[in-house]
Amino acid sequence: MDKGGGFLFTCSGGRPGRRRGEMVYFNDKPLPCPDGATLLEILKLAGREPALTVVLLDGKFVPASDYRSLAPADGARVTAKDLPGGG
Amino acid sequence: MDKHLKVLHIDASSSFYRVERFPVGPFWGPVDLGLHLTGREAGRQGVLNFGTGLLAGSIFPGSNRLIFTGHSPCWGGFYVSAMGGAGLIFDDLGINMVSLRGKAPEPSVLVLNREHGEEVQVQVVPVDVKAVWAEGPGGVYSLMDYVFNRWGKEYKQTPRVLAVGPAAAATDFGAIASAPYQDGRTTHADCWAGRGGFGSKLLREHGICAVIYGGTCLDEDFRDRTVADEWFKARYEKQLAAKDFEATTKYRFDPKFNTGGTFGVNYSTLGGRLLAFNYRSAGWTEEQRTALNKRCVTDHYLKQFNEETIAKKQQRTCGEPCAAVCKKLNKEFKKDYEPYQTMGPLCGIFDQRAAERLNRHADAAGFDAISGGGVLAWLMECLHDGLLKPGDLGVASLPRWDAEKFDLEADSAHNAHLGVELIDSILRRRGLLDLSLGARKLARRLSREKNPEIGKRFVFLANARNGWMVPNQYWNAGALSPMPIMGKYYMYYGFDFVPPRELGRLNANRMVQELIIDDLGICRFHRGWAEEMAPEIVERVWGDSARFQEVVRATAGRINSRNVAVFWESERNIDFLLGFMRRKRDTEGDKNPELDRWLKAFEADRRGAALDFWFEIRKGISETLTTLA
Repeated sequence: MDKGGGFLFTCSGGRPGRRRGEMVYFNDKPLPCPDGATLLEILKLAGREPALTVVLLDGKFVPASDYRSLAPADGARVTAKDLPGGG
Repeated sequence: MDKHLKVLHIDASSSFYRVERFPVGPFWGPVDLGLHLTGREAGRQGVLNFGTGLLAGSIFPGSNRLIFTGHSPCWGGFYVSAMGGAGLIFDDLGINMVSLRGKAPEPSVLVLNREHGEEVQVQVVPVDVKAVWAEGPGGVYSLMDYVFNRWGKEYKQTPRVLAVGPAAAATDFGAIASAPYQDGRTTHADCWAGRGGFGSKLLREHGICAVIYGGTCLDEDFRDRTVADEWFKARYEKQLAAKDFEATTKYRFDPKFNTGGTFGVNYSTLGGRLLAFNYRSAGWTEEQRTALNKRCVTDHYLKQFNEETIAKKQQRTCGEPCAAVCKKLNKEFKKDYEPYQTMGPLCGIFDQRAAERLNRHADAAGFDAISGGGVLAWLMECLHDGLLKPGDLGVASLPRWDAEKFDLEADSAHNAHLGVELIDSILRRRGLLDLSLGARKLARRLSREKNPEIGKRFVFLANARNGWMVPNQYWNAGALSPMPIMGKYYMYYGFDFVPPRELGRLNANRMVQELIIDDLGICRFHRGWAEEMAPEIVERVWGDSARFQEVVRATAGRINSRNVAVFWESERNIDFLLGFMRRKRDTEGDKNPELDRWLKAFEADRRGAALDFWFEIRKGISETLTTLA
């Protein structure tokens, strides 16, 4: 499915190749990212420590165990929130 | 690997015991099974469960938490409390959990020993616990020494002791303490199942003041480091030990802040978010808070900690091999952020000597230190503002809480001395201080009989009829959320403003994530890899991660089905929330229109807006933790 700037990826993992770079909205600001970038890669690109970041993808909570496999669609809204160490 | 979870049921009234097996699949760990056992016995008898996760005894660092579950006397609902390291020796019993029921006729020690044979030997032995508490170092420390010295030699390998203090007898928020032993001697790295009042439950409902346990059972734990390293390298391009070392930086030493441990890193990053003088600072200007932080915390309280503890590397583990070495010490004083915050700045104490004195006194008495500090700060403010007189509380002085003229050492020492006196008043029920049924009930009574303002100053989460909990010491809305279990990190405690409905959903999802590692008995200080890796480890070892995650989600839903959170009863809770939101807008420049809308709503109708805010969080929780969704 073509959605303007590249393929729309499903949330089931897998990384079929994309044809060109894409854009996500990271905390409401556009962030260019490589084709097929996973949440983990996007977080690192944005300078976040994934283990201490709570992520919402298009408003939906994403467990940390899915950061590595979930590739947001082009134009997706990624909301990253810092979680302090705690204790 | 375990195919069944083995539960040793013990009736403390008769020493009768039996083993029951639960299949792995429908049941996975101490939280879901503890909830099941608590529910199964509900209406007939109360049970206190303690046990380990499936990974106990494995090579995964931080996997030896001892998890306590049951109906909490202070929270008034199901609760989960975790103690570091104590699961390592528990694993030598060859069981996964003890489920305690019945009550010993006199305060007794539960002795559990498994020496080679098929069965755990169980004894319930009466002791004169009041006499033991009064000896030597006092309270839990004396009882741990007494029990170890009396029974320790009966064990082939070093056992471990759980003990309660006099707070367990006098209040509903007594904790359970345990210190690891080294070379036959107790260390100062106290570990605590602090929250939830399970020390009070152990003593008052089951007549058990201490447990000593150990054994020689060798079961089949996951110990193949080569295989684990392969999993970690595939994910992190690092071996297990290297990844764990990286993930535990904050708790060991964080070069970004040149400090370590929860105390060091949290105080290094607080800035104007400092909470002091029973949360009165929430109503101050940012300049006042940052000035207090600079003078009293950064340049003194934190500086002392860094010089005495961090620079001298006074640190230990909880008893299991662990790179976090999170127990930060100065001689016999172990320092964590939250106890040294509630019995520190929250009580008007900004000096390590004073905080050490008060924290040690509370620890020896066996209090949940966070709740204890919250209660002391509240009582001090009531004295300071003349709502109560010293004679009402069996003490001799008023607190010194003048932030402008605060003498760091003398005033801190004075306030710590007052805190010690208040603790003694609580334990001896001097004056009006009867906390046997909890602080919320006391607040209600004092408000009714002395002054209605008294209860308005006490910051706590209310649950069911009498349940209460002093919140975690993070200034944000998450800390006051109406979750089914509060006082631990089953909520979102980030410092950003999150609209309440979304906050409720975040809280609920964070609860599920925290339950995953609690149910596996993993310490949350290792969650830098544990949250991500736990499902994969379960899949690779037990082959059914989907079922495990389904059980954890169902457990969260079932816990929430008993959610009886009560709207904030104290005005100071609303001050806390409002101060947080104002600071977000005015100091941090948060332009979120939702924040602005809520602040305007609070200005128009403070109490109505607070009620709406609370219910919005609750809606977010409920819509997320619906078991049939």
